[in-house]
Amino acid sequence: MNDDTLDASQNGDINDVEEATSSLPAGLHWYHWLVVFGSIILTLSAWYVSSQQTIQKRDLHFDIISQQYVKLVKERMQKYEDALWGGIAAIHALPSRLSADQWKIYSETLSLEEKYPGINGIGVIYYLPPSERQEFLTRERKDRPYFNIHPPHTIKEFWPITFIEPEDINRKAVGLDMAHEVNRYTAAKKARDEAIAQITAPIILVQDSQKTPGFLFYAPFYETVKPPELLLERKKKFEGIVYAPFIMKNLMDGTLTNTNRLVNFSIQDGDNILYDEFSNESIDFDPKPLLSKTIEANLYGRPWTFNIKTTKLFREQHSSAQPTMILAGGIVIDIMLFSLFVVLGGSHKRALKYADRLTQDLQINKSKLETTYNRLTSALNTMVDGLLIISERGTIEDANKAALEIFKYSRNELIHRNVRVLLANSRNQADVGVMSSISNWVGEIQSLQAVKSDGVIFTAQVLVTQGNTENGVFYTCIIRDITLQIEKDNQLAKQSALLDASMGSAPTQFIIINHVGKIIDVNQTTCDSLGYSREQLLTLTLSDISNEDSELSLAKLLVDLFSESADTIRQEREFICRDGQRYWGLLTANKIQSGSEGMHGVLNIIDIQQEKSLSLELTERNAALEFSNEELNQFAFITSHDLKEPMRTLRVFLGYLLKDLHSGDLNKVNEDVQFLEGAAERMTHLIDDLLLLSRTSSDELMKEPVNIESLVHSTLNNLKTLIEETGSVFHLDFQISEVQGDRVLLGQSIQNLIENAIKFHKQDEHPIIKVVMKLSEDQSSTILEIADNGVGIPEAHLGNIFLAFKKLHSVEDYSGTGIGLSIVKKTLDRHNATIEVSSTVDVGTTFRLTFPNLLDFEKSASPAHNQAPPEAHHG
Amino acid sequence: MAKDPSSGEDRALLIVEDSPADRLIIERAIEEAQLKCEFRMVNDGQQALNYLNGLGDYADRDAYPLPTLLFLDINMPVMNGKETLKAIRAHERFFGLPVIMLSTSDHDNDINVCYKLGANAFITKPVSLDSFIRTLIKVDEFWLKLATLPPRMKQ
Repeated sequence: MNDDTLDASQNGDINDVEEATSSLPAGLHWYHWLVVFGSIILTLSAWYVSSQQTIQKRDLHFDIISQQYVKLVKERMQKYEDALWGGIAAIHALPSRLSADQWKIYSETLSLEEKYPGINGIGVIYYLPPSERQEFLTRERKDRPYFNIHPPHTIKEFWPITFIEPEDINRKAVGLDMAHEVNRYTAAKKARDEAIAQITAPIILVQDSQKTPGFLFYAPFYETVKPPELLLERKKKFEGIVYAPFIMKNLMDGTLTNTNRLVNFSIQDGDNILYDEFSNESIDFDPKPLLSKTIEANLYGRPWTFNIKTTKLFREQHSSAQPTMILAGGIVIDIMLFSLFVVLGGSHKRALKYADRLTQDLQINKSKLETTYNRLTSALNTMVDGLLIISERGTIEDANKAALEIFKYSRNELIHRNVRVLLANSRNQADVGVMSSISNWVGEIQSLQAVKSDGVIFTAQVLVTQGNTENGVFYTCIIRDITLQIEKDNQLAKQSALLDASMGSAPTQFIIINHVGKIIDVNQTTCDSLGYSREQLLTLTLSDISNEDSELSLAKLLVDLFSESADTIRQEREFICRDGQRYWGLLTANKIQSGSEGMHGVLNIIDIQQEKSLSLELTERNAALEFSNEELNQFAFITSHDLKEPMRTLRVFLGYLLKDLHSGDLNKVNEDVQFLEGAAERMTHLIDDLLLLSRTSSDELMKEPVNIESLVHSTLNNLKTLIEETGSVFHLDFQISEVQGDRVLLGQSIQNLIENAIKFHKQDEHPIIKVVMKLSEDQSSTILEIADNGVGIPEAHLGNIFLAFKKLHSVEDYSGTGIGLSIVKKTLDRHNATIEVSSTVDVGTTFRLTFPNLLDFEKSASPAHNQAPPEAHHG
Repeated sequence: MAKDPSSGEDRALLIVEDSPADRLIIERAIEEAQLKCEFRMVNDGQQALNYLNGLGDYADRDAYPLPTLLFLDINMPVMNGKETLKAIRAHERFFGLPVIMLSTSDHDNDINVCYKLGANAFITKPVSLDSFIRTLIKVDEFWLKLATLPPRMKQ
């Protein structure tokens, strides 16, 4: 124990506790441990001895069982051998040669199935040299005509199975020659030569349909009852063999019935497996046998190997619980003993545990504190602003990473130095001045000149806060280097000045708007163009100086301009001056970031009014030209065609006229001349009308007030003859009578329309024609209607009646050139007036002419009523 | 079955023409050309369709035999040649009736439209009597004698 200082003694206590906790359990003395360990050793020894005994007992049991099984097989074979020798005895006992019936009687006497389970039958094989074969066959076939020796082979002697009982299950073996196969033949010869019973190496019996391993058991017999002593004699006096065939599986089934299987085994003859129980199909088969062994045994000349393994049954019988019980019992006693000791030492242990917990709590608190400190440090170090902690005396106590970087000091260089080394102008001041100024700065952001370690002076923003501890006052300074910001501000101011200057002197208009379109700034050119003063414009928004065009709406312009992905916007837009005049401008708009005020739009406008009006004029002229061209083409085509037609008639009838004059047919001559006259007249009309149409289109249009009423009257006067012939009736209604226009052209048009109205009357009715002139309902135009009760125009033709030369009626019925309505249409077009037609077949047709009332028409023409009132005409 | 095509019997022309002068010219030309066939004249397309369909007076096929060949003017009142041609070609019964446009026009557009509508030939009206006669003889030789026309459809 160390008692030097308070701290040290505390540490010592902690260490003691740790030592005690490391050797559990606390409070046990050495004699306790001796008793516990002694008890454990005793338990283990008892368990060991007990389990050794169990193993010895088990091994012994297995040995006995194994020997028993081998013995069982040997004994069984012994029994079969006896049966074979019995057969030989029977053969010798007979006075004559053995017959099939006699052998049958013998075999039945044996009661094979009951007494010799596992045997497949019992039979006789005779040895035949080749010379005796035929005689033998003849004899045997007397009783059994099917008897035959088989299969063929190359050896010069025969060993046929002659009798075999029971014959029905061994039918395939009858006549089978032992010499055909080496295993059968070898064992047979060995039996003959050694005069003892023999078994063959493993074969598959011909009568075994399952083709499992089996063997033959041979016993030899000779002419003499007792086998001759010498080998030569034996061969000479050898007669045959009594034999029994075995299927190994049947044999073992017979041998092992009713035994409890403590072991499984297999039998091998050399490498050939004769019998095998090692499969899951066997009763109680144990894939991991407790014990196994191999026993070699010689059975009738064959070396048989018995592989023996214990079964599950064996495992069950030998799974003795005794050693385990001993072990478990001993351990329980040991634990009880141990617990007793522990309980006794318990109170001591609890005391130690309490001390331990206190220590742990202390450690947790300590690590929490450390974590907090680390976090604070790293937070301070990640600050962008520099941080200094300064004592009351002006000494720098601590600095964060940013502070070190700002002033370019290492930590060691800065700590414990006076803060005045960082102030650019402090070098000439007294210490007192610095300190008093630090305490003066508390609470407000100060800008002051600071100096870096390399002497560079910069502007710093400083915020100082005061803190108190037991040890006195300290100051925390947060420092920011604002050199870059100042530079940026200067640059901005420069750019702004530049912009102002360029805007002011620009020949194009500049307008700056905010995001809702309010005008923020304009240049002088803008003021001049719009006719406002700068002050007036700054109170307006964009909508006050530009019209709301549906396609180029201002709202859309603002949205497009201030959208995230906005590009430069270019559009043509109409602007409105203070006096209401408008002009077209090409607008280019960009957005700019305008510091604290958000986004602004800079609009640059170039006055394109002149270009715009030129372009509009050009478009109009182009359209007019195109129309005029198309009209000319059509006119040329129709003219040539329609002029050609009477010309052709003229030529053809001139031909006829010559012919008819020649033949002297005066009637025909007369007819020819009529047609010639008609054609010439039509041609004249056509040319007149064409001239008229041409004039309508090209003559200079007079613009003067025209009294339509008087034009109608003069027309009726012109058409007097036609009106009288047809008995036409006119109803005139003039609520108004004056329009602006060309009197000659309008007169011609009215005449054409009235002439048509008269001409296209129904055969059986007089024409009734109404002429009405009035103001339109909205007073914006003057309407002239001419309605007849004539034949009407089919709807399909209404669309093209104003085309030149469109004749809707045959020449016979209604004469005319087809140009009249074209002249009307052309005239009205030139007056900016319109003509509409509505018609029902067999009811009548109405033409409606609409003249616009122009406000700005120059009323310079002479007074209208300068014509004599015409005669009203009533049918 | 087929009769001797040169006999001229059983053949009839229908001429659709509104101009009295032209009708007289054609009538005379047929006479001069000594065409052995009957011919009938109507004033406009509507009458032509009535004739072909046997409406009203035209039901009498002895007086108004079904034509083998149709001459059709373009510029006519009521129903012009193009409209008439369109109506005829829309009628399955007259698919095999040869229609020859006979017009003063030689305008590309007129010619194209007529062939498009199914005219079999387009002839510009000749400008002299002799050429008129020659034209008719050629038409007679080709359409009424040389060409095999579809068997006449039953009424």
